[in-house]
Amino acid sequence: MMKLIHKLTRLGAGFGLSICLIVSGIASAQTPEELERANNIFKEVRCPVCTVQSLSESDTTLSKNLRQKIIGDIASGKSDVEVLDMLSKTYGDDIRLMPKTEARTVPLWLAPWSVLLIGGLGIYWVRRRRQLVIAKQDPNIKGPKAS
Amino acid sequence: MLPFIGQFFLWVAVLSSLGMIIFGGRQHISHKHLKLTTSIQVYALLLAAFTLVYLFLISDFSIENVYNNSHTQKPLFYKISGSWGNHEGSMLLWALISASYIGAFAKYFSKPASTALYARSLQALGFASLGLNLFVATLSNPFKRMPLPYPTEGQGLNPLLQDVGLAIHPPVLYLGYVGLIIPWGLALGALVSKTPAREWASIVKPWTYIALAFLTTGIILGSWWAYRELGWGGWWFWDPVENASLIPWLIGLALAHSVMVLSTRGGLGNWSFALAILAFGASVLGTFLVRSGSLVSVHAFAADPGRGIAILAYLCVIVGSGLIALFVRGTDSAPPEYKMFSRDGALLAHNLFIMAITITVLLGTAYPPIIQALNLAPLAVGAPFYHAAVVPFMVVVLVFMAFGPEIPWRQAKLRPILKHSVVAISLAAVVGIIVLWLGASPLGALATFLSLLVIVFSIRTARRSPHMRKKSRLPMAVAHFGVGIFALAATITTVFTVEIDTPIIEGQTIERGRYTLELAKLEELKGKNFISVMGTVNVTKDGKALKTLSPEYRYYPARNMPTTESDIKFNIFRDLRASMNIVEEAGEGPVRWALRFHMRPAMIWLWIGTLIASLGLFLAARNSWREAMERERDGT
Repeated sequence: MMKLIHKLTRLGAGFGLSICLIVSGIASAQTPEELERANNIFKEVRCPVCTVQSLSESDTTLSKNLRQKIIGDIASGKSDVEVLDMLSKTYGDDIRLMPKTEARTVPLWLAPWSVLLIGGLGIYWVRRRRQLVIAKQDPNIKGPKAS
Repeated sequence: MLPFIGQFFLWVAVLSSLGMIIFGGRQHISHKHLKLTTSIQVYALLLAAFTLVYLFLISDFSIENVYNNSHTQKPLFYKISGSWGNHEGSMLLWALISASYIGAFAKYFSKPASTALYARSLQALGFASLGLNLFVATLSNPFKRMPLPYPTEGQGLNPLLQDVGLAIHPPVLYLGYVGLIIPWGLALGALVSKTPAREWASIVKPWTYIALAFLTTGIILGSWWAYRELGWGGWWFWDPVENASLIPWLIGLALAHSVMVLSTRGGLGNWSFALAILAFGASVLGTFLVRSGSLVSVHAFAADPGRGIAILAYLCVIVGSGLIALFVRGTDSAPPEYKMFSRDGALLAHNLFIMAITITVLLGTAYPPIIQALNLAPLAVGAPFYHAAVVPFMVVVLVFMAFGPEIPWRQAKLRPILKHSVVAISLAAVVGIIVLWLGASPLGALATFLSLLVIVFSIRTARRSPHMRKKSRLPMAVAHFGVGIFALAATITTVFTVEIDTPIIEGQTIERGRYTLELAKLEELKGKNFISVMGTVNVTKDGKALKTLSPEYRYYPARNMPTTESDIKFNIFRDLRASMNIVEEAGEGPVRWALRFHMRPAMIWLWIGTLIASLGLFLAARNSWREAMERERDGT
């Protein structure tokens, strides 16, 4: 039994990077508020060696170290923004699952609202044009009747 | 010998789609010839698919596809499902399903559809099939041989894919994706043959509903698989491939509502044509995104840029031809008069918001590859973005869903609705406030309030629905009821999930909040093609024993790959879910495990709600199918 587990452990160590799973514990004692903040950051940061999983969903060694580092940073009084900026600097912007608001992400953030705006204007324009057409037609219909 | 037979059938299918193009374009239209060619296509692809399944069954490793995805030790069930759990096999399945839809349309709708519409639609569908069949016969050939000497053992199927959920997820999903080919073909056929939009709508309705029903079921099956199999304990990850299936679903949803408006009221003709064209385009785009390797995701099991370009070209032809036809032939059918505050207005607004969601999901999914192609610093778009940008819009859609069916066509007044529903609205509001007080966000409370209204209103509609089938609003009520249940469950489970992650060793007990977890013992298990360690986890809440969970850590020698098998114990109130993984740096002494525990309230209703919604869509398909047939019989 123990032999199998140790064998699996070695395999797990070898292939730990191929599957990203399960967060392990948080060692140092923190205030609940700080842990909450850290957990929120974990959800916004991509596990650097995974594809779409966040730190809170991944169990790679790198993620584990990053989680510890983030907790440490928060405990040392850094703000959430500072923590995220430092991560961006080290790993590039693609570590953040929530893209920063900056020039090149403006289209992304404006997309839903611009569809609403353009669609709304389109509907308004079509309806207005239709009403104009009807208004024009009405006298014509009445016209022959009157004469 | 067998691979050649399979290959032969693929070329027969190519020829039969050529036949559809020729017979569909003739001046003197022959129903007999069209039916014959479509049937030949179905049978040819069916035989090709059977050949492939048989090659998997006998483990013929001279075939590259079998070698890459099978293994002699694999259980029989997964040998069969493995034949479509890979790129080539799944494209063959795609072609087969497409042929079957076309065959069914050719067989059953030769009368309801006017002769010209029938023939021109089948011609358009012939072009679509030709591209697809050629792709399967050449670039994506499932019968490609291995170089000599032939191997004696295969690579085995990815263990993550060895699951019942995944065996049935692709076929059902494809029934949805590919089903959208019929609305596309009918749209082109109607535009070319100058069929009035309203007539087209009554014929396209059943096909839209069938496709959407299968797509809904297929997507939720995938989600269910991810929830059970992927160890993270979530059910929707905003993974690019999930988004790729969500986009055609959203457009299909808009189409389902706009053709309903078109057939009952006569408006939105060109808009519905455009949606029908884009919906199938989105299916193909989804395939492109998954197959080309433009997306990095757990699903992209066959990344190949050459095939990607072929699919992209196909996509351009599909969407381009449709939009050109619409531009040249589109006619503005006399639109009905209505005020914006009416059922017409609610449906229009619903369509607008759905499109806003669609564009956002599409852009979010395509953004990282586009940024990469522009050589800018890479960025990622993940779940937090969609939660912020898309989910509020979805909540707004619930408003139209709740009140839209409650108000009359043409023009509505606010007071009667409020008077009519004062009890329902106030009760739902009370629940919403309680949920807010229990710690939900305002958006969560609003979603609770609105989904409760959807549920209550749809039950009321179902009870009042007239018994005559033609006027029946029962399918709509059932579908909306299902979506209401889904939305409520999704909200509750998002807001109130308890998650515990902890390192643990055998015999240890961990206390977190109101829950206590004990890893009582570890056992060794041996499966047919894996070995595993199973933990026994006792879960206690407030000192009361709840359940014992048995998560597994598995190792598949054929693929040299470990997986985690979660254990879920559910009842109608909540799911208890545990999964465990080895902590990597374990040295001497007892092995440390990483245990992940979830208490997810109302989880089962998420699946049930979606299935009810699919049921409603199937009912709608049945009713509109019969309506189309009766219309033909009555000669109207």
